Amino acid sequence: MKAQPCIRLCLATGLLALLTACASRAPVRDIAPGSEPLAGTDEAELWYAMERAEIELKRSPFRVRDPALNDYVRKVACEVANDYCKDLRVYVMNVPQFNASMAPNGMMLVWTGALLRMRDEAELASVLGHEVGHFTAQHSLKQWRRMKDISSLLGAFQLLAYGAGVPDAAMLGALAGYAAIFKYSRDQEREADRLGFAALTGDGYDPQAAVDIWARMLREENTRRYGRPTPIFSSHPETEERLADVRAAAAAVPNTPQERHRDEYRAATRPYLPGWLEAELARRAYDASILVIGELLADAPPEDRGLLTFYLGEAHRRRGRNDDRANAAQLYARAVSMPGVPADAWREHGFALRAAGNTAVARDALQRYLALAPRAEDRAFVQRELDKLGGVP
Amino acid sequence: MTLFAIKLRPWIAIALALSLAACASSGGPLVSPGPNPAGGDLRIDSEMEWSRYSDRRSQWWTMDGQQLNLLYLIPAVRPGEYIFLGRRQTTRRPDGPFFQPGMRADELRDLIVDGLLAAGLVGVQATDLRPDDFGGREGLRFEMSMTNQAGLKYQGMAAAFEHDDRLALALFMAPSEYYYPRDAAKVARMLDSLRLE
Repeated sequence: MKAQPCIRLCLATGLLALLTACASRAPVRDIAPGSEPLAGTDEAELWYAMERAEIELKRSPFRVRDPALNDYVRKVACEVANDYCKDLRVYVMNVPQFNASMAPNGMMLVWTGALLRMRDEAELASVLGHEVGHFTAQHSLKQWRRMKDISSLLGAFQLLAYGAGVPDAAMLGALAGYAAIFKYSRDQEREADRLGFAALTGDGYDPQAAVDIWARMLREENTRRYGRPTPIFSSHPETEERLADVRAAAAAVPNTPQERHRDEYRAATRPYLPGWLEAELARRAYDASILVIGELLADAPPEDRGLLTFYLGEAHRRRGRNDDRANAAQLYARAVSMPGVPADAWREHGFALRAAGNTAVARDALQRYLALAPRAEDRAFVQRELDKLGGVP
Repeated sequence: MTLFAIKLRPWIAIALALSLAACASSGGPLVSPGPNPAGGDLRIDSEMEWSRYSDRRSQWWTMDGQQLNLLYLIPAVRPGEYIFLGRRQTTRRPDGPFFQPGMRADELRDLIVDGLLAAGLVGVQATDLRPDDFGGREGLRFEMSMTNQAGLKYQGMAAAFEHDDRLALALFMAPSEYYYPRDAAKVARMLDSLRLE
């Protein structure tokens, strides 16, 4: 009766020791700029798979094809990649979440949700530097090898464990294997963070940019009430840890450079702002959207404040909790007095006034909307509301 | 390697795949031209023959296969219900595309568009939102354009109206190439005939 726990313990301990010892020690090649893997290697196999994926990606409807935006993001990527610039292909993808990714063959993706959340070129450089770090450190290849090692080991271990009549140990082994894979991934992310930070400061950008963006991400993450990853089974370190690390690194930089290139970033991204804000709201994660748009508004130049005030109102209206509608009404009223406000703000201002019983001014606002947007796609719907309000046509 | 961990929502893909797989099976009951039941008390006048598949809350009609033409009919989306998958509102996910009685026409349109986006369609654009009458009940109509994840362009049209604090909904989608232009006028007249009996 006492033997079985002993076997389980021995198996589990043995597995953990094996997992620790069996990390793939195969050397990776010297990744000189412009170099490619040798034919017949596992890396060449991985690159081939990525190249096939890239062919598909080029046809993806998510891809933003505007050359000006892609060229700008590529230019910043090249600044942090230096000699590795020629190895990169940058694709901006229309996905309204904060993320970017790097494939082992140099295919870099940047999501529009990340571009919406950044304030300047230094912040973009910080994120792209992290991705270039994955490329130069050959993380994908190392992770792939690690996963193959662990899969083989787990298969053998589970066979043994089930054969020995200790299925619990087999399950425990699987969990330990997954945890080991995720830990390895987290360590790689930490390394990419360090490499990205070094590239950022090496190019003369303000290191505070990395702190600002991670602090912003942490605030947004804290609005999430569900879907938080379990630390031990998370592929990335916790955001708090990453922020603390980058903050310490920034504090250690002597003669801190201050370059942020805010105007260049705004010039490249401003034409997309209304579409990105619409996509942000379509995620229906309104707590996060209210934070994101509110912070954008606080940092915005005067000419963007009308647009952002309107969309902040939209986020409140669509969430529709407690006093959200009243807050939205105030934001619409403020927005319509600002320069650069979209015509839609007059429509929402009109509906808010109607809800408050201010029929005459509501009618004026809705008419103003139709005058500013004579080809509005919802013209018939708004005209019906005007008809219901009565008064002078 | 990504900057952040990516959370997948497999339930969306699974639910859609299951629904669509059901549609792809050979042969369902045939819809004949003329007045037809569309689930619950919902009625629609068809101008052509369709194959019909149904579950507890919706019907799927197609002529050439669901990827070539699909008429999706739901007689009653209940308050707090997710319009496409019947997923109920929870306190964990309070902001999803859930129907609530008394929503404005443009809010209902956004609900449908956001639901289609959440179900995996790309670049869903709604146009020509307009009021309409469905057997004496006030409702809305609009057109849509979108692509699937492989990049195939689709067009669509939607009709919806509220009844007894519930939402009746009809969506038609077909590829922009050939299939949508072929049937759009007939399907538009069918949506005109939506009513409760």
